[in-house]
Amino acid sequence: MSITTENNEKMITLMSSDGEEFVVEEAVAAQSQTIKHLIEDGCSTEGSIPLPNVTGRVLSEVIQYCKKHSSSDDKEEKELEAWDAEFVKAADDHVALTDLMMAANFLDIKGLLDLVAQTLANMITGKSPEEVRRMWNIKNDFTPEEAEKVRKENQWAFE
Amino acid sequence: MGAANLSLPSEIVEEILALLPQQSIHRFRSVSKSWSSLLVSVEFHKLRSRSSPPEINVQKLLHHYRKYYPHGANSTSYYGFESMDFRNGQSKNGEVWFPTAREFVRFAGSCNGLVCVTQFARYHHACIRGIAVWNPFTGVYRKLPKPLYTSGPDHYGLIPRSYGFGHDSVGDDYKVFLAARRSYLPITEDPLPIVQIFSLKTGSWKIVENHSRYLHQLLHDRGRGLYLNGALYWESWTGKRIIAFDLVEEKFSDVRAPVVERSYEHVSMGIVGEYLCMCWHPMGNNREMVVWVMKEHGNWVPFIQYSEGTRQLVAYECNFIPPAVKNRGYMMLYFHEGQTEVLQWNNNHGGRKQYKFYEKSSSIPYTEALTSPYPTASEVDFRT
Repeated sequence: MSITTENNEKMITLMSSDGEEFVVEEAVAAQSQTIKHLIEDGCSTEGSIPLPNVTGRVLSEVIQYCKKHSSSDDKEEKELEAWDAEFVKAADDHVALTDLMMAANFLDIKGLLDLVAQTLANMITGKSPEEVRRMWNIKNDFTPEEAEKVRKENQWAFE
Repeated sequence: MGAANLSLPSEIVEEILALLPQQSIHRFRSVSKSWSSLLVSVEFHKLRSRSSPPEINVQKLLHHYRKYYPHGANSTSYYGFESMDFRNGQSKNGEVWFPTAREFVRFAGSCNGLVCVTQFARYHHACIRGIAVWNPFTGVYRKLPKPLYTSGPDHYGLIPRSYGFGHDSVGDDYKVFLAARRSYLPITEDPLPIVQIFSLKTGSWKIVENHSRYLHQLLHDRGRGLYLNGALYWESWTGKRIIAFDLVEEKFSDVRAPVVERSYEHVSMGIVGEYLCMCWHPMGNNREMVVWVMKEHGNWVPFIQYSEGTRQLVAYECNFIPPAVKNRGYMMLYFHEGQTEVLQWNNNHGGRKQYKFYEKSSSIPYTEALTSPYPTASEVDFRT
C-alpha cells in the first residue's frame, strides 16, 4: 500500500517484530540499505514491510535518526553532530545501545552503526574484562590455567 | 530486552572493538576465548586500520625512552615507547603502548613489522628476565617461553652477549637468536656462551651446535645482530671480521670485511637499504664518515663520504633508512654522547635534518605491517 502526501512524497509502512506500524516517507526509510533494496525489489507494494528483527521501541528510535539525517544537508554538519550526541545520550544504557546497534546492522544504516559503535567503544574503554562480560552476558570460557596464562601475558610488566 | 538476553553477533563485536585504544584491546583478550582469538587476528587489525588510514609499509623508528624529572627526593622517571614518522621531513611522535614500558629493555631486532624486545632484570641488570616479539602497529605481542639453561625465579640467569631476530623465508618462520653466558656459573666453568634459537612456528627453543670457532667472537658483547636477507650479522670491534648466522640453515659463516686504507678508523656496521654497510672515519678526523656497502657476498664498494662540518660523528650503530619518498637520500640513526640521533640527508643537495631524542634511549627502525607474532593468527594455542 503506497500513500502519497500533499508534497507528493511517497509513503511506506514499516512493521516491527511486535506488530507496531510506522508510516514514513520513502526517502527516510531508504536511508536503510536493506529497506531500499526491498523497495527496489517491489516488496512494499502489497502492504507494509515487515522487519522481524526490530522491536517497535527500537524502530521508533531508528526512524527518528533517519528523519533527522534525511532532512539535513551538509551545511548543518555541526548541528547534526550535536543532535547525534543528544540522540545516543537519550538511549543512555548499553542494552538500549546494543539493541540499536543490532538494528542498524540489520537495516544497514552506516551512519547510525558508526555512531553507536563509537558510543559503545567509549563506554567500555576503561572497563575491566569482568565488567565487559557482565554488560553483554559473555561467558568466561577460559579454564583457570588458560585465564592465568592470558593474565600473565598481559601483566608482564606489572609484576 | 534485558542484558541477560543479549547475544552479540560477532560482526557487531568487531565493529565496536576495532574502535578501542590498544591498551583496552590487550585487556579484553581475557574476556573470552572468542574475543581473544579475534583480538590477535590479522582480519581484526585490517578492520582496525580502516578507521585510521591503512598506511602499511611505512618505515618508522621505534624508540624506548626514559624521561627523568629531578625533584630532590621525589625525582621520578617515566618510561615509554614512541614511534617516529619522518615523512615530509618532519618527525611526528606517537605513543606506542607496550606492557613493559617501565622497564629497562633492549631491542633484539626488527623484521617485517615485528620487533623483538628483551627485558632485563631489575636488580641484576646484566640478566634478562623476558623476551617478547611484538608488532607495534597492531599492538599484538607474544611473550616467549623461558630459554633453555635458565636458573632463578625472578630472572633467567642468562647474560646475553649476542642476539638477533629475523625471518627464515624457506620455512616461513621468524627466529630469535640468543647467545648468552650463564650468570650462575663461574666463568672458569662456563667460558663460552650457549647459543639457542627460538622458532615462532614451533614455539620452542633449541640449542645450536657445532659453532666452537665462532663462540670466542660471540663471547664478547656483540649486542644486536643486523638482519638482512635471511641472515644475522655481527662485527668484531676492529671491523676486520664479520660473522654471519644463516637463519634458514641455522649455521655460522665468515663474511669478508672490506679492506680499506690503513688510515681509516672503524666506526660501525649498518644497513643501507638492501645492503650491509661499514662506516669508517679517516684517521684523526671524526667529523667525516666513509661508508662502504657490500653489493654481493664479500664484495665491498664505496658508497658515500659524509661530512658534518665541525661536529664529531661518533656512531655506535648506523642504520641507513631509505625514507618513504624515493630519491630523498637516507636517514642515519646513530648514538652520540649518550643520545640517539637521526640525521637525514639528501643525496642531491647535501641538506640534512637532525632529530634529537631523550637521554638513555634505544631505538630501532621498523616497518608498519600486519604481520602477527603468532604462527596462524586465528589459532592461538593457550596450552603452551
